[in-house]
Amino acid sequence: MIRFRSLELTNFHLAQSVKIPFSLDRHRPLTVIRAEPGTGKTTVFRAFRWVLYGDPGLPNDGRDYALGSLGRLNEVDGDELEVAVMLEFETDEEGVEPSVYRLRRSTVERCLPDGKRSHRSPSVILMRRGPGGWMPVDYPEPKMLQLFPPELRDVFFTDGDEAMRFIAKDVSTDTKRKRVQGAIRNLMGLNILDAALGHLNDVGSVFNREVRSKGGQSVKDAGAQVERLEHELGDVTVKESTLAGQVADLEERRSSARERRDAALQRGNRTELQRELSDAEASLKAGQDEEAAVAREKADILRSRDIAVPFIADHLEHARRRLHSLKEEGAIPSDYLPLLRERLQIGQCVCGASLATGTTGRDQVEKLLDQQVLQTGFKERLTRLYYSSDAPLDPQALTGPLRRLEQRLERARQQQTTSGMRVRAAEARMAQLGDSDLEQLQGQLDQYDKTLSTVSHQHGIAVEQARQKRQELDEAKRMRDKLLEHEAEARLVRAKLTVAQDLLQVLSGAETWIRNEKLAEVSREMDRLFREMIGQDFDEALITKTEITPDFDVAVYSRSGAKLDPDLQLNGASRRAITLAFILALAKVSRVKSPNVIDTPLGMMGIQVKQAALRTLVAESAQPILFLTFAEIRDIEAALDRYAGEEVTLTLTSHYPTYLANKPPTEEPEILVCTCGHATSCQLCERVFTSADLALTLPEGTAA
Amino acid sequence: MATDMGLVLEALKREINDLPERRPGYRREVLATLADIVAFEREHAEVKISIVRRITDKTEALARFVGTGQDPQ
Repeated sequence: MIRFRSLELTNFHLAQSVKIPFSLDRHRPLTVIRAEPGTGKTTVFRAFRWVLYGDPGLPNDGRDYALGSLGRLNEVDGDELEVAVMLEFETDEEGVEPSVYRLRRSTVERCLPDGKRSHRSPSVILMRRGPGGWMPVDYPEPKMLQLFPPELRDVFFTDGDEAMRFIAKDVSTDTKRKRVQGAIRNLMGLNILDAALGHLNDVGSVFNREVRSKGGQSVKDAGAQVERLEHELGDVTVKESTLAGQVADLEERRSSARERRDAALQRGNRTELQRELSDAEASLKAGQDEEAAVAREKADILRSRDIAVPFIADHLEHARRRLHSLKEEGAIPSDYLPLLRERLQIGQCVCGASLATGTTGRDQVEKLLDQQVLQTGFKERLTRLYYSSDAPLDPQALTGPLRRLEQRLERARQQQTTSGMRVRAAEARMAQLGDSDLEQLQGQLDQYDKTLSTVSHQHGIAVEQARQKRQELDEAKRMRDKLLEHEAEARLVRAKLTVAQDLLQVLSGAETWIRNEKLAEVSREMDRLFREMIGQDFDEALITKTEITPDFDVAVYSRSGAKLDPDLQLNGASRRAITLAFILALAKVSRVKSPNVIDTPLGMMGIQVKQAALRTLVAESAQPILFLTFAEIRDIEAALDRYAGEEVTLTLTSHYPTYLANKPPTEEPEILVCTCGHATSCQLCERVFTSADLALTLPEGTAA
Repeated sequence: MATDMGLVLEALKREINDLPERRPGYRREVLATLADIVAFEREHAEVKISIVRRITDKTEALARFVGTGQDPQ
């Protein structure tokens, strides 16, 4: 668990010297930073992100971003100012004493001849408190990456006004998916499991090379074959992955070009045409997807063993007769081998003699086992063949599904034809508008379509090649393992391959379980928390269900079951509530206990939703740190009395006399902090009027 | 904020039961080996280590346990 202890800003924007303590009280874990709009909320929020993530934590990755206080840095060429932020935090693991750290990020900002400002690459110092005082941590960056992974930046530092990056309307679907996926993968340990799978595969390859050096000639050949196929599969997989990336990139570009074209159409008051074009394109895409799905299902059927039966019927019949005679002779089936293995495992012979390691009896049984392996291997195969050869062949089993697939294919093609005609008609109407911008955008779109079609085709080929290679590799491995069984001296190598395979199986199964089961759990938990926040208004609400889809979309459904577009059909309060629910659900399911720093979490919410959202935040977050305006605080004062362990108020001196009641101690614009809570005010922070005086109370049920 | 390994270990424990008990105590040793490998991966993310070498050593120790009963730890 990580908890923040304090944050100290020096010359960061207008915060020349500001220190904010955070609540460490487990019964009152809430910290409230009370601040009116324009008094420093964003400054402190960005200071948090900068100290932990550096320039990439700032807007536009910190490019052209002025860090220093305007008042302190004169607009004179060469003038310099040191800017620094220090965060004190503690980490504890079960049964281990908490470690306290101080992280300080600083830089020197300089005035350039053109009046602009630039800052040097920031320096980072991480100190750990030990028995002898503060000791520097060598190479702090990797430690920070491990404690505060960049993928989780938006999970634990959330700006309500951007509400919110996982369902924000200013980014493409793909980007949102990547954000959701990145957060889930990181918090649930999938990144680590994937890395381990990759390394264990490398280890398996090392063992396979050992087979080549230690086995007999046939084993060596089989090992070489496996190695060659692994190498080829690696090449094909890289190619497949590269092409998949290109397809995703092109889809992203095409989607962006389409959005720009649609926006251009809407600007030109051609909403009807834009809608027709979008609908027709969506229908065309659905038809194409359906055709691709049918092709995949058909390929699976054509790859099945049964499809070959009519072509080799004569040979099969001959084999069937031979297998029957072997059965009559008692040659198959054989249970001899399992019996020997069982006795070895038990350590005792059927006659009662000991088969413990090192005994003569064990050596004899092991020798016998090796001799029998080859023969029994054949017998096992013959047994399998015998039983499978008797399985009745039902022609309907193949023709039925194939016929249904043909019907689906026909419908999909019909849909494509109809939709394609609608697209062309709409494009023709668009061309008649004589809008050169539109023509250019449509030209781009056509180009992306064309390229995407080519790359998708190449990608499909690569996927099929990879599938074939995997199949060949599996077969080659089976052959190698079979041969290895006959070489006593290669027993250890065989054991290595076996345990490597077992380790891979467990890792892979764990990865799949987390990806499927836990993702579903996050989805359910998100829905529960969202309902909790929306509370009794839920029944009256437009939204009736939320979920995370297997594609990592945060999806929202209406009363009629239709999927809502969060960009267009949700208000700010609902977007806030869903994002908070997602973040809290993800942290809960992945068991990560960390602070949640949230700027303006309760904005635009009605009274009951606001109260419920605060209760949920306090109950589910390990250390909620909330930036709240006076308007947000209104109607939740009782909850703050109960849950807030620390409260501070930010004040901007230049707000005097418009908003501030008393003359501040300095005439320079500066952010100052006092320890006033929601119910108090002092000489410094007393205001003439607040956002709560101005804000209209929102009606009940506003959130959804 | 960093990943809690409790979930990963729970997932590994669930899957371990699908393995055959190749020798008494084999599943327990597989789980211990995987826990070590996960710890290596976390360490490797922070400080570059010879991760493949370390995993190879761990896997070979487990293989010796299967082959001879030698304690892999």
